[in-house]
Amino acid sequence: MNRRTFLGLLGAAGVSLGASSASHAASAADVKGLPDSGAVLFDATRCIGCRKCEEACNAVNELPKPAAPFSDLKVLDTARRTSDAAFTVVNTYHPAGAQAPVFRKIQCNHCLEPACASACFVKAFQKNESGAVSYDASVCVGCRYCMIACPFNIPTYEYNEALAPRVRKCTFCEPRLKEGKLPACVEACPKEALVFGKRREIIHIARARIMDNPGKYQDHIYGEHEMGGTAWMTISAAPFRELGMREDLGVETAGSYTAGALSAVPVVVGMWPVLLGGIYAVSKRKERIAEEEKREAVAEAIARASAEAEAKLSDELGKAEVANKRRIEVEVKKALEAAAQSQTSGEDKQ
Amino acid sequence: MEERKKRIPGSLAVLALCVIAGLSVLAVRLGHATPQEDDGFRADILSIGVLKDYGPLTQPKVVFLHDKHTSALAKLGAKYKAQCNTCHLKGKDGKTGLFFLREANPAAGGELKKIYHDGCIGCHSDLAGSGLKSGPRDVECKRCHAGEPVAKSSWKPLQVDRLLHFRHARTQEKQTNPCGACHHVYDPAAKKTAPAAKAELVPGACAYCHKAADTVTKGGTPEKVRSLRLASHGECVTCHVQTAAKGAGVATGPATCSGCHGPLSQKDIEAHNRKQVPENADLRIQRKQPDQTLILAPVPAASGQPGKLFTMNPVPFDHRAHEARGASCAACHHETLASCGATCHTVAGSKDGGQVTLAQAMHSPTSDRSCVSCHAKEQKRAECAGCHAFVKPAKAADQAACAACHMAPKPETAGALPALAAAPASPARDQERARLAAQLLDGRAMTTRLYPVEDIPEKVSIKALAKDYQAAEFPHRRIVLGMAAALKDNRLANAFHTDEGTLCRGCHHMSPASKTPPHCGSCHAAAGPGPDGRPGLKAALHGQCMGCHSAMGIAGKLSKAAPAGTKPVPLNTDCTGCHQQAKK
Amino acid sequence: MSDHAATAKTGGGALFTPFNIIAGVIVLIGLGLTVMRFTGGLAAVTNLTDYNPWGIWIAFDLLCGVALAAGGYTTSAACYIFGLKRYHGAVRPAILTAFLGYSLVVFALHYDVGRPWRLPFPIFLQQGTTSILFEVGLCVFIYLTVLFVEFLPVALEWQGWPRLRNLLVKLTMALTILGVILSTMHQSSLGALFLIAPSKLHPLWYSAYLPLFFFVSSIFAGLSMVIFEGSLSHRWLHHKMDQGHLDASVQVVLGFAKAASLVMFGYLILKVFGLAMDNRWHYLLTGYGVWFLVEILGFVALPCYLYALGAREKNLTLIRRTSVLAVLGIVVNRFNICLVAFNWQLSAADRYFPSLGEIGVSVFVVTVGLIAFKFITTRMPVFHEHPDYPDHH
Repeated sequence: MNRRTFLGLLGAAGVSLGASSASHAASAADVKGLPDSGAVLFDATRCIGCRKCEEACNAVNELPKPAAPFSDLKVLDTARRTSDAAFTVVNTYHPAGAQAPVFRKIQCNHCLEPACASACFVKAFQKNESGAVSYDASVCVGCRYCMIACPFNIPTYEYNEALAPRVRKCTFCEPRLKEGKLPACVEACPKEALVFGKRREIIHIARARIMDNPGKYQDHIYGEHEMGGTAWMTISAAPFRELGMREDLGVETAGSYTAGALSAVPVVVGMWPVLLGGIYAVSKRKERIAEEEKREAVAEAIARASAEAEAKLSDELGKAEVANKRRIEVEVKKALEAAAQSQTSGEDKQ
Repeated sequence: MEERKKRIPGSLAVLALCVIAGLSVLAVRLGHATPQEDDGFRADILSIGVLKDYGPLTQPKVVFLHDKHTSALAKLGAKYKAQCNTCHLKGKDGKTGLFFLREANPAAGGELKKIYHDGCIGCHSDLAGSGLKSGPRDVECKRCHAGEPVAKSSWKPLQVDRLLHFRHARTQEKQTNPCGACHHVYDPAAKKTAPAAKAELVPGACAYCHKAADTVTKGGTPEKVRSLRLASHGECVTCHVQTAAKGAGVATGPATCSGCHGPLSQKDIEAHNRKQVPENADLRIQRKQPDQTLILAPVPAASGQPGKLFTMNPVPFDHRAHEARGASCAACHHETLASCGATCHTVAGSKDGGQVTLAQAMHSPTSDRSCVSCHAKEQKRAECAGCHAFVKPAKAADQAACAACHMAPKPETAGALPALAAAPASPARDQERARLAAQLLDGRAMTTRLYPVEDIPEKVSIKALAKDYQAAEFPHRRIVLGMAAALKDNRLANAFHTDEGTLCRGCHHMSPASKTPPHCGSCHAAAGPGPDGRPGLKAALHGQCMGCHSAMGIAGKLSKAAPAGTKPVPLNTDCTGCHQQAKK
Repeated sequence: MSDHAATAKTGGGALFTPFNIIAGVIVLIGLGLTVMRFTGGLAAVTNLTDYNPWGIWIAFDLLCGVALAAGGYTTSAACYIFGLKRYHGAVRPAILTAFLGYSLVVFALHYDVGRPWRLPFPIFLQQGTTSILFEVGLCVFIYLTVLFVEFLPVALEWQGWPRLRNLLVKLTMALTILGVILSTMHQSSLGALFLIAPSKLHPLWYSAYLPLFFFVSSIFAGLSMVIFEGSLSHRWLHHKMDQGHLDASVQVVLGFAKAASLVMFGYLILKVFGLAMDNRWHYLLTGYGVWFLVEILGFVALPCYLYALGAREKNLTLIRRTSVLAVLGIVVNRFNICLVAFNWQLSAADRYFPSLGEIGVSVFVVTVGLIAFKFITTRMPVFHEHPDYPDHH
């Protein structure tokens, strides 16, 4: 290609680079909050650690019964996490300065912009209008990137299953929601530590509880903005980190962290051929010029050499001619002398 | 080839050295400065940055450990007989000053710097010269100018409570002017402070005049008032030191930082106070204050409406009973001992009172010196919290809540109130108020009242939601009577639980007091929570019962007063403790 | 001539060589593990848990495999795009290494992923375009095809299909450019995979520049791997190399060492910038910080220096030894990001260590690769020119 075309392409690529900044994934400011989607408020001051929610979840999802029955509360002393047989667990915490232990229920938070959905390369996760983040086992390949992505360490995997292992997590009891029923755990809780409603209403209820009980709760609804907002939110008297909840997750959605890297793809696809083609063209041109110069140098060398040879030849020829002439002269002289000699000796005989 | 082979390990060695050097620089820069004193907690950490008044600091502030120096000086007894006066010079009046080697700050920063450097480094050099362990000297700038201390500060402010005051007052009780030893007043004529002549003239706590920093008020009386820190150390520590100088064995207070400000020392002081003060000692700080008084808003009588006072009913206040509750007078009288509403917290609010109206000052739930907030704090105690954890703060429209304090005056005295309210402060006025207050308080019933026992159901069978469990048989009367018995001697409870239905409303809430309060299910739906967040019936019942047990901390426990054979209060997670499993 | 051709087709030699025996044992073990994996699930073979869903099959077989197979695109870019013809002899071995490397990555994924028969799903059934992993999968899929097509001429020469072979050779330029584009994207995306979990990766390793770090390190990973593989091949497959290849190999080693040193230096500068921009200096004084410095200084800065030294002194042995260090460095880096610095805040009881089964499968995968490499190089014109195609370009 000629130089003008190359520069033109470079300029176009540069413009597209600048324009690509317009491509950004949802940030917290964009997440409208899905105000009418389903949400649940967990009030840590109400939970008594009775495990009725675990029992109900186990029953509704037909999960295998655990070794220790749900009435065994000693289990709460060990810190547990969700597993492929337990979509939700309750843990005990002992915040500093609290007279009594505090309990917290752990389950999928059904984020508004789930990290698992962003990470899944077969779109097996989806945030639904009901509020639930649902999982489609019929397309799941089992790469487990969702487990890497989830900041709350919720999804679990059926490692014991050989041919049809699934990712397992709380389903928000979507079938029950469709029937107008409450999620099993919400219904089972005797203390109404769990309250289900539209997200907007749940936030209002949480705020009202905090306002009506000054000094009782932490002035923060965990999950209102964390990771861009979650459907399951918590209010608590003790600081959240004392309940094992991470306070350093920020308000950015998980997808926004990878948006930058993804937006680089069209840039590479657009720019690299130009760049590499340009380098190739430059290197080819250098080769060509090198070839040409080599040829020129060779031709010049030949010309010079032949000119030299010519000069030498004519020189030698000239010299040879002179030498020849001289020899001829010498021979002629010799012959004449010989002839003169023989004539003189011949005349003597007569 | 050999030369080449030699170069590799050689260059690797150089590389390694560079890396180590780089890392150590990094460590020194990022890590803490090498610690000199023991890590841990200290109460004597001073940060000397006086030069900041002269311009921006060029070095970090000096970390000075006061106790370390006083104990070092004490060890050198013979050499440094002067003790405190080694550094704190005696003034012209013979009193030890509080500044370091100077009476006041010089005009130039350079001079001040010289005073410190010569003083500190000089002394350190002297000691080192005598072969003793000493502090940093020249060219060791950062050893003093460390900025941040290595040790953490465990300094706690010391509060002079009634116990401590009693012990100090006791040392002066034989004096003609016992209060004047510590409490002084400013004499504008003599332009200096003089001991307070008698108790009534004591202005009150030191902090009323001596603020956090030195105060200068042009044209004020006095113009210059030194900070609380300088005042308290100047008076307390010097007195302790002087007393100690009288001889070994003379009881005196601490003269070191940690002696008063260390948390361990403060625990010691508390324990010591209790030991030193006899059981039935009268800890009252005497200042001829009234035993009872009438809190009546100083509102002038309305023009055109003589005899009518447009204000709330007056509050008869048992001052003496309340004195025993606070640590000292300053618990309520936070700026001055004068009456709250005189000039600061007027009815309409004033600049002096930070625009806090009288009503706010008395009722603010969040300040720690209003009546309401102090009562609210009491409600957090275990024997009260069972109900009061759920009782919402009273709203203005709740008449009964106001009436507990704002008592309607006796009809015969009602007519005099407008004049009394408008009257300027005078002993006569105070006497009249005390008289009226006594009248009202004497007639007041101070017992927790209940409905007649036969009207309190003995057992209540809670069966509204019985499904997986049978009805809960609730021992209603026993619990009500038990709670009332526990509150028998609680004056605050008795003052407020004067209506027979009041105690009932701890559980039977959100409805007027009645012998037949509405069934819980009238307001709490069996189906589930209401849209306004009101709990459903199951949660309401569980929340009320378990909440009370948790707030009182009695879950799993058995009261000493309970009759024999009573089961302990069930744990929250012990379902069958309250209701039996349903028969299949 | 015909003898040579005959042995070139069949490889020849004894069956029970030490290599074959050891490789055979490993393959048998591998087959056993395969049965266990597909009858007992991942739990039967691995130490993976819900906290640690990715183990050494991802850290080593996927991340290291892809990084070390980068020799393919770097060598062909150097030779064809930058016009450095003197590296021509290294192109075929590099392409072979890369092709086998990526094939092994996909092979190993069949063990790691829950339902390997569904691997085509994200590309053909339902595309999760918000996912970095989708981009990785798509690029690897296309790039494997590209590598296959780039490698095919070698096999075609061996089997004697000149017309198709010549046609494919004409595509070299386009395939090389495509290869660089695809490699840039998926090498950086493997780093970008971890961007989604800032709360789980130690701040010294987590950076917005992770994709850049992975891409740049893949360049010198590939270059080092070419040197390393070259030194192994010289040791074990010397008899298969023709004079042209042998002559060129010195140039390759020296040139690649210089290039790798330069790129490593640039990488170090980028790392310093990364630390500075995110203000991570204070982490350097922790235990993790020390390990980070070991990775950067011992496994990147040191080989960078040694490569430069070796290139200047023309010390081939030093360079070859350094390439081992550099390759180890890449392995350490990928392991750090995937296993060591990941989940750094969890308690020790919740951390991961590979099981023998996982190690066994990884060794098995590498062994299969070595067997394939030996098979191909002893029969096909990788280290030598096929006599019928004297100047294959």
